[in-house]
Amino acid sequence: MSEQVLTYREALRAGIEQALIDDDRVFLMGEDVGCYGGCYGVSKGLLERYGEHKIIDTPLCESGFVGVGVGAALGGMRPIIEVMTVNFSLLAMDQIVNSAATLRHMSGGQVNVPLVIRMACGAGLQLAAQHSHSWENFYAHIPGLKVLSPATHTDAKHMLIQALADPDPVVIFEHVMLLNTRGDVLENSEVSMEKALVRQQGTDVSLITYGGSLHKALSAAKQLKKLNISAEVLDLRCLRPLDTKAIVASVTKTHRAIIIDEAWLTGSLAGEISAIIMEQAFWHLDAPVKRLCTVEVPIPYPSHLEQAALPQVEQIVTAAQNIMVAR
Amino acid sequence: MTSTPSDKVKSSVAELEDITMPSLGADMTEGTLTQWLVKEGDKVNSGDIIAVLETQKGAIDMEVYSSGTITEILVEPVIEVPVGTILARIALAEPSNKIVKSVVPAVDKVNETSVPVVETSPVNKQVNVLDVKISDVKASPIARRLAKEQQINLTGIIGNGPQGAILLNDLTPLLTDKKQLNSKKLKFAGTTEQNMRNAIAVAMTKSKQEIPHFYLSVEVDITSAQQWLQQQNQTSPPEDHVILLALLLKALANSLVKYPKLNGFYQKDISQSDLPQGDHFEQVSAIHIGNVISLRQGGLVVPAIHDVDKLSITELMQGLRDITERSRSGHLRSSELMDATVTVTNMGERGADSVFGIIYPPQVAILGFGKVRDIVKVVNDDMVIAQVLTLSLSADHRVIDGMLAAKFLNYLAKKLQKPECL
Repeated sequence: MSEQVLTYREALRAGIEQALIDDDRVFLMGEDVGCYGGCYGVSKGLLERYGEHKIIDTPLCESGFVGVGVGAALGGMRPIIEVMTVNFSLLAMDQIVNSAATLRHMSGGQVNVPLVIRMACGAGLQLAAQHSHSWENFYAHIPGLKVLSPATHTDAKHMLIQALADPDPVVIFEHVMLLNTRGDVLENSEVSMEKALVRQQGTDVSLITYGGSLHKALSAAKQLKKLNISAEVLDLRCLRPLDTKAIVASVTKTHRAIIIDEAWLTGSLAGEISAIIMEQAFWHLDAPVKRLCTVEVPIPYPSHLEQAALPQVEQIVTAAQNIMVAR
Repeated sequence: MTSTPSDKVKSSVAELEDITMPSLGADMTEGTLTQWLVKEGDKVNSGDIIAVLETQKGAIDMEVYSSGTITEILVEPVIEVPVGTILARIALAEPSNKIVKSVVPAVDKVNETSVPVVETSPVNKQVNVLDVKISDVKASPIARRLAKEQQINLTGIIGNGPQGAILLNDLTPLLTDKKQLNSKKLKFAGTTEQNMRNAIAVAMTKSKQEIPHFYLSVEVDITSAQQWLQQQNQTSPPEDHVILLALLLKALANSLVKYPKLNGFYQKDISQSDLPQGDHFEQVSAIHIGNVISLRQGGLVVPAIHDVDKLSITELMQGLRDITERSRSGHLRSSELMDATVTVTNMGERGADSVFGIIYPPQVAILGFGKVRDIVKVVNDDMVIAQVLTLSLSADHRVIDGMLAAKFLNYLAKKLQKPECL
């Protein structure tokens, strides 16, 4: 399989471009996606290359343009809607939850909504409390949606294409801290978008995570290896539906689980995953499940406080050492 | 512990008795079952050896104290459990007239929730002064699942997890694979000495801290005893030779018949822990003398010779040879380590002039025999050479007073003057 090295941003763009080329029904719509090239620069240059019928700038009205996206999808198009960040998506939540996610059900299966909504998420860029949150779990709560969290460059490119092929609405979360990182992009997707992937094999403890926390878990695993702890890193990739089989398989192997989730602890996906482990892998556990989540405060602006609020590599290492203490 | 309906059914069969991990002395807190010599359905008689234990005192043959049929084997070797843990059940051949009935409900094969501590046989009751707490066993889910699958009883396994929880790794050495069994045994060999050292440390510290010891000694002329021995041994083959220790033990046993206050157990009332009102001395009619035997590899064991007062010198001599041999080969029987009523420490020929031992709880006295020495003695204004040894006594002042102890020692010394009457 040939591969190329791209930044995460370029990988996202490559995915959008391929979708635009492959399928005439695909278009990109959102705030500043055209002239400005996207708030995070993902769609830079696309307006020039594909024209204003494919790359559409919208007014600052999330409920409006997401609603238009739902309508376009119902009308047979394959819209990619960019909501600048998950923080603003609350304004479009009615369209996403009450319309996109429910119309197949409400119509008795007569219509479906093949809509893809991309949004940036995560903290770390000093954008303060209104621009830094991780609410993947809000969307992962909603039946009728699929929720993706591409953490690798290959997934950044290919998950969009897989999402567009899905007949139902898919929400994709792009972690802002990944945008400038460089990584290999495989020519094809590794597996279906709904499968979790073991990014690092291990036998002692499962580090279960997704999105922006994956690279933290991987560096923690590296450090743990030096401490003679073999950590398995499971990249969930898809937050709805969760790949429970992969979670159970990993915990069955390692008997210990640490879930790293850049969301607030209470009501987090980490809690959901922990519950799945209790229900399906309880008799394989050799230690209590541990959750590492963001401190329950609005994400602070000052860099040191922002970093202190987020789950960090050192915490993962410590948690793994603690969970292994009686080995 | 909650009893399940099936427990009640079992308990209602009144003739069942629990076979528990014996306390082979106050210093023993747990033992390891290494092998069953019986299986479910086997008929056994009181005194039969039914299992091999690995303890801090080395390998011990475990006896059964009732006759009947083994109905249930509840734990599988190799497993370490606290003293008092139910290992098996026996359906009694005859109705038991024992006062203490089992009050421990039947334990499920995979029960992990409690440590049964109630001693059911009178022998155990006498010597067990340990207060093993009933507590919930903490174990990880996978440890519990594995325990169930492998029929491992989790009670008594020392967990290395948080709050002592039993984790997967605590169980893996116990899995009953032959290979693992062997490696486990090897591991024992390496640690027995340290275990024994620790056990001695715990027991002796406890004894010295709890028991108000006092000490007296008497120098006893054993010239006539030695002469008598020489005469006896001249006419018998070397393997039947009687040694001085046999005489000393016999004289001690006879003296204890006269002074029974030194023979028995000081029982602590566990329920009232610190209040001495509940404590009491329990005089024992049987005279089982524990003999301190030092082992070549270090450490010591104190196996008892039973009913010494009823044995002839020849039988006693056989008993001495037997326990010495078996102490060193590792085939002591559990009863021998459990029921000594008094202890003797004998310094022998290379030892010291006198020895003041530390009482082995719950006993109340330990006799010390120093080495035999020649002295010049004044007899009828004449100097004669006599052989003497120092008899010493460490006694528990909670039970025994100095005058009684002195009378006892002098009586013992007097007995030794007429060895032919022993």
